[in-house]
Amino acid sequence: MDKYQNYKADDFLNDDKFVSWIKNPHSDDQNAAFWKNWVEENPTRQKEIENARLIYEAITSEPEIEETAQPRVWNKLQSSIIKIQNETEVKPAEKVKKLRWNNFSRIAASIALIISAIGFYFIISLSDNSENLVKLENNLQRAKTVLLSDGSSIILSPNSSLEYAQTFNQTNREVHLKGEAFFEISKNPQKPFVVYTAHLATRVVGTSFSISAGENSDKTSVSVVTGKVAVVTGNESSAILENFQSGELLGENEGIVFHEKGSALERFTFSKHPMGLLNFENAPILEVFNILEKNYGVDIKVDETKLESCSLNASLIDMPLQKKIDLICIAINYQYKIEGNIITLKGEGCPE
Amino acid sequence: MNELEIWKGVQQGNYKAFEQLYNLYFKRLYSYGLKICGDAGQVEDAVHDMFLDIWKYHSNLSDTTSISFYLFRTLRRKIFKNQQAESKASVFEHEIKVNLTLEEKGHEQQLVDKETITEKIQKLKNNLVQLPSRQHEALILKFFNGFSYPEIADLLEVNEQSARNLVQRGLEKLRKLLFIILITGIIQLLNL
Repeated sequence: MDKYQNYKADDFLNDDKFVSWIKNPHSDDQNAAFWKNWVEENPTRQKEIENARLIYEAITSEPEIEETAQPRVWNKLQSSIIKIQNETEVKPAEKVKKLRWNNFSRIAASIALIISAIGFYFIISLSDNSENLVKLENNLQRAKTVLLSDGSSIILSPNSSLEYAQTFNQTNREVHLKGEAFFEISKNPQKPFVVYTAHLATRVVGTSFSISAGENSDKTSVSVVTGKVAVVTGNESSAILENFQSGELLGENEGIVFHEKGSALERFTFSKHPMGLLNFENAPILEVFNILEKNYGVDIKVDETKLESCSLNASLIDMPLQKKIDLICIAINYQYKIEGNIITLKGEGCPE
Repeated sequence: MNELEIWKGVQQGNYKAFEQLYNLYFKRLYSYGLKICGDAGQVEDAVHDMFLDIWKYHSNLSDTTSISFYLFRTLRRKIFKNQQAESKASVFEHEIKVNLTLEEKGHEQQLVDKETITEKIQKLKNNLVQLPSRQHEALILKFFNGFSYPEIADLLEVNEQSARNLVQRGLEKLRKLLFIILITGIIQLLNL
């Protein structure tokens, strides 16, 4: 006698074989074949099976999950971690022995936001334009670092100039470049970063790359070190989203050259960009400061005797200068302050 | 990285591994939380608190072969602890009361309204939370999360037979609930 004959909906659901069938009703295994056949032969149980299905679906229905829940909780979690991180910093006895901070790039992202409030513009000459446009010219023999209000850094080569709004507007971040610059853009998908040169517009979300658009040269080039950018030819009016979507996409270690004469775009690749070489393994921290000073044209002031024996393991790629300083300071438990192109670090040596 | 490698990384305080663990489990844990609690805010807090604890006390984490089991158990405790703090636990302990919503339906259009299957499921879902909490939870663990009876028993801190009984009784009550819901549908139609 078939035990299923008198089954009610709940009895069916207590049967693993039945459950595995309603979970995958279209499976072509033996079990599914059995139940298909059984249902046909026992029409009186049809109602109970239908009810079992309803109950099963009520129990297993996926709850509605907002797409923003996962990143939202993650952001909250990061702030909490920073908070407890700061709490432990107050108690030197509990300091972590190993510098594990290369894992903290994401934390630093939110720290950078806090610190940007005391952020600083390196302004050489400020035009009296009513639209609050900042115009920077680098007439020095060496590169100059420009720190933007959003935490991004731009390294402006000699004989180059940059123009941008003192405070970026709500929807995007735009700068105009003549000459050459290396960009390290802080990530913000809501506010794309666009660089205009005479002939090209380059749109980024968060990345580092350099653009060279010399006034006397007929070539404009964009080289991407990390991240992705989209490039279109033309000026501001053609730099609309639709155009970028069909523009030239450049990934890591890819570049593009625009020749004014042929008005054609030529792609190229390169292996290593000097600014990309910021991967430190057991590097003496003072050496790291030297490299940062040279690359960014900044002056890092710190009591060197306290840090003589300290070394770092860190990947400082794909982040603006401020974030790099943030990370180092988290690792060695230091405070910093930026004034002009002078960065002053204060602390009590690295953790033992 | 496989799950065990991720877990090892987290134990060693590797932030990337921690992030991977979060991304790997968030959805499963969050939907489980929503199923047993229903208050998204509370679930978010519990998930947040649990992962923060994992990060804070990573060096105390023990080796485990079933990470998902560990996480579910921890999250469950967090949810109930938070609920007790807000003394909302009683929500689950109500007697079954079917929401007999005999609304006035004057319009002709509504007269021909037939309850669709999705509406029935919706009604059942609404009534699901009115099951005694442990029956409700056992059903979620069994059918939604696919845990075995020994695991359910462990999670609910009862023996295996009790876990089976909880599922059985829960299913029986749901069958009766469904019957009432179907009848109510008919009453509604007759009333008009």
